[in-house]
Amino acid sequence: MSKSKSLQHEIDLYLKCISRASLIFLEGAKDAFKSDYEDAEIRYREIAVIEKDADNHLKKIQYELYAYNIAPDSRADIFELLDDLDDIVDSAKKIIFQICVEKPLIPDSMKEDYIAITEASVGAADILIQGVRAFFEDINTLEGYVDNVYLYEKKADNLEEKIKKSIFHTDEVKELARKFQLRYYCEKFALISDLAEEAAKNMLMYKIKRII
Amino acid sequence: MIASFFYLSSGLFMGWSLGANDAANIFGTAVGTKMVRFTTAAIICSLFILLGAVLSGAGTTETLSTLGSITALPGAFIVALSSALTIMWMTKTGIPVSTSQAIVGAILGWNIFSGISIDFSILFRVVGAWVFTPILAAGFSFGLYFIFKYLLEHVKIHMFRLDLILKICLLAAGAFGSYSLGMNNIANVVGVFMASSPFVDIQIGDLFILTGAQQMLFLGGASIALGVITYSKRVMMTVGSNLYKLSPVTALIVVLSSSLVLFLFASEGLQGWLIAAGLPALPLVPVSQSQGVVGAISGIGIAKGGGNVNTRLLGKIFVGWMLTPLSAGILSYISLFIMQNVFMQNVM
Repeated sequence: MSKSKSLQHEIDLYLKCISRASLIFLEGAKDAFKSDYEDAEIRYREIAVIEKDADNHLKKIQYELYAYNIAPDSRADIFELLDDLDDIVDSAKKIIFQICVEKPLIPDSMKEDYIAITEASVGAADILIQGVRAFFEDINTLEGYVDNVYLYEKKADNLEEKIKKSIFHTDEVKELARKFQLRYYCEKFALISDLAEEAAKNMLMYKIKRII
Repeated sequence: MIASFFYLSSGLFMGWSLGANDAANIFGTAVGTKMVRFTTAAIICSLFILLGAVLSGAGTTETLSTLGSITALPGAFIVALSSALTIMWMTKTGIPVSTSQAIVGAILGWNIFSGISIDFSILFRVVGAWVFTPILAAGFSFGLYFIFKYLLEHVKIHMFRLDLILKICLLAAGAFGSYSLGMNNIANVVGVFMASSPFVDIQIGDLFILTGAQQMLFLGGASIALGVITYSKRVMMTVGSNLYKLSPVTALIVVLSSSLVLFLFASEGLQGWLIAAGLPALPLVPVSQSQGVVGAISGIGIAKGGGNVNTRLLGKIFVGWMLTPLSAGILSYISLFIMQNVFMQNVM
């Protein structure tokens, strides 16, 4: 296999890891919202294994980019972009771990909204991964993916506002400490879409740098 | 023979500085962005400059020889030295200086000092070529910009594959650029020495005769190559990272456009073909590669909407057109006077 083919293969494996981790994150979050913390912990361990695997791929990618002098003009941008994806998986793992430890009591009336905000966040991350593939394979189609990431992030933002208002206006949750805890998780689940949006913005900038 | 080489030294110094500076116009971005290694760039650049100088450098060299047929080596030495010193001074002022303009100015200084009438028909062709160099380069880069833009927007290609293709294209364009530089600018290095060449024809077995002119072109080409190998790396790194920050694709367009201009103003074959076809032919004139590069970058700026055209730099080029030949001419005249009357050397 040529050096650039081997690097392409390594990036492909890395993106598959990120994609799998985001799907498992969604499942883990749903388990936690149903108070099924045993299954959520299993998902957490799965994400931890995938994250380790992704880290190994990322190290290989970095080595091959620099050792074989592939795309020297863009390699720093490529590495930054892939590192942004690693941050998303890292945050996802931490959120699932924390929710398994704290086991917050989510009111039934808000569970659907919590699932929706997690789906919007994971949606943003999934579209971002597709966009990263396009960045390498067909850079001219990138804007479409970036626009969709923005769309999902906006959706997550709207849900975040809605959930926060519900938390502080409902009588179901009385203790201020619990209100703060629920708000904290609402922000954490929306964070994935924020990270995806930030990475998408950077990716667009890297594309502009490559335009003649 | 030692005296001959001493007198040739000013021309060889011109060649060395030309190689040290102009190689960066060809491979600066490729090396600065680490797309091409310096060693690879230096080998290709030196080899093709030498080939261009020896195989196709006669056309522009003859034009300069016709403009001022300097038959005494001390005179040629002073003319080359005056233009080299002018270039050094102008470079310090930050003007994109042209070796061609300096040498022509110095030759005119020699013509006036010697009382030989100036061939204005050749002079007008030479000046016309200077004016058209950045304009033509801008035209080529303008056209090439849209061709490359169309290709990059319509061809689905993996980034790493595109990167590999770009590397190959940068090397090929660099080879063409080096060949063009050798064939066009060799005249600036050895043109003034042609009429007083100390070299005699050498018979190589029964194979061929190496003429004195070819030996002179080879020596000039070798001095340019030496400049590339010994000193161009520093300039390349500056060009690649500071002065003109170009993307590899833009660099490819700039190198192709400026090299094409140098090729057009130096190719005897193309000139012959155009004349045979009844078309107007371009004169064989040494022109400035740096000004071609500035023209090509401006062409891309215009293609992008005009916002990136550096009018200040274009103004500096215009000042250079006036100031370089004038300064070289005056310096040449004064130096010839000193050489003849103080050092008692025959300069005509």
